[in-house]
Amino acid sequence: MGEAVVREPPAVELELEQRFRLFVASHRERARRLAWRLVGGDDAAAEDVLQDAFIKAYRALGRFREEATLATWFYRIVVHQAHDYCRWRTVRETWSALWYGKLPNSACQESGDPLLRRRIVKALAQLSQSQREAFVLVHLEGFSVREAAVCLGKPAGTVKSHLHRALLTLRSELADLTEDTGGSVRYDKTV
Amino acid sequence: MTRPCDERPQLDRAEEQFVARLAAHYVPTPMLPARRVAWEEALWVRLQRPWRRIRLAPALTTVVVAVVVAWLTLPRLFMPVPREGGEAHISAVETPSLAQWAYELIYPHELTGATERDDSAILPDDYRMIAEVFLDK
Repeated sequence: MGEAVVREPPAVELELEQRFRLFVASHRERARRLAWRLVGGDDAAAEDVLQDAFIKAYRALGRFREEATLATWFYRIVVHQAHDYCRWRTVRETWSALWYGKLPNSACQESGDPLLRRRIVKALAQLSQSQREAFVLVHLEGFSVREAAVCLGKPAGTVKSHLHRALLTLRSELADLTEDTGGSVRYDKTV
Repeated sequence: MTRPCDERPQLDRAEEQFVARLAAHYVPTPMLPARRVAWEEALWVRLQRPWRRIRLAPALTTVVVAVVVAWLTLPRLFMPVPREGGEAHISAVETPSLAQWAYELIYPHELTGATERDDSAILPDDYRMIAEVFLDK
């Protein structure tokens, strides 16, 4: 009599939500680090990319075909989100440069070794998008070539080729990191 | 998820050191607990928000149909409206266009080679007599 009918979510939805919470907790840090490295060391951008990736994954769970593991499938979404973010950032920066004659301020957090970090970001920016994604996935995040190939949607041979070229370019751009400098790193003041 | 020794690229010692240093220097600062809580709350708020998927194909179809309909109907709005008898207000045959009038004003008929029209027939009789006297017609 006059009581509001409260619709409780079905048990399946509750279970799905609980399992997804566990999935978020177990993959959040690694996915954030991957997104951060792919978007060029921007904390806020990485967190946005990560949130969008989790939301996309949650809504697309019904379309997961188990051709890869759930984690690989999710990291593929992260890579795509980061890719989209970088593309739109390029458009925004180009538009700002054309319209206002200047680039927007980067939200990159300056902690740790900011100068070296900027040099690494600049060196990674010299790579093509595919080379950068392959290098970050395999060499920095520890994915196997096969997993990286699934994440990037490319054959394993192509990924290996990207890795080889990326490593060559980075070693020439950051030659001082290759040398054994006893823990110290020389800085290029032109950055 | 990564299986050890599963298709890892073979690197020499110098390359391994280079990659290890790069990875050590290019790493984000950990998320602060308060920021992590806020981020997770925002995530679950967004997940529980009702979501309507915008399908690209229907949206594009709608836009294309709207453009085609506008393209077909809008020019008709500017067409001359026929009179009750079915005759249009504006006739391209009877009324010379503005461009043609401007051309005849700017260039005299001696240059354009156009023949001068004789308007004497439409003048009243007394005007015609004066014209005959003064213009030798």
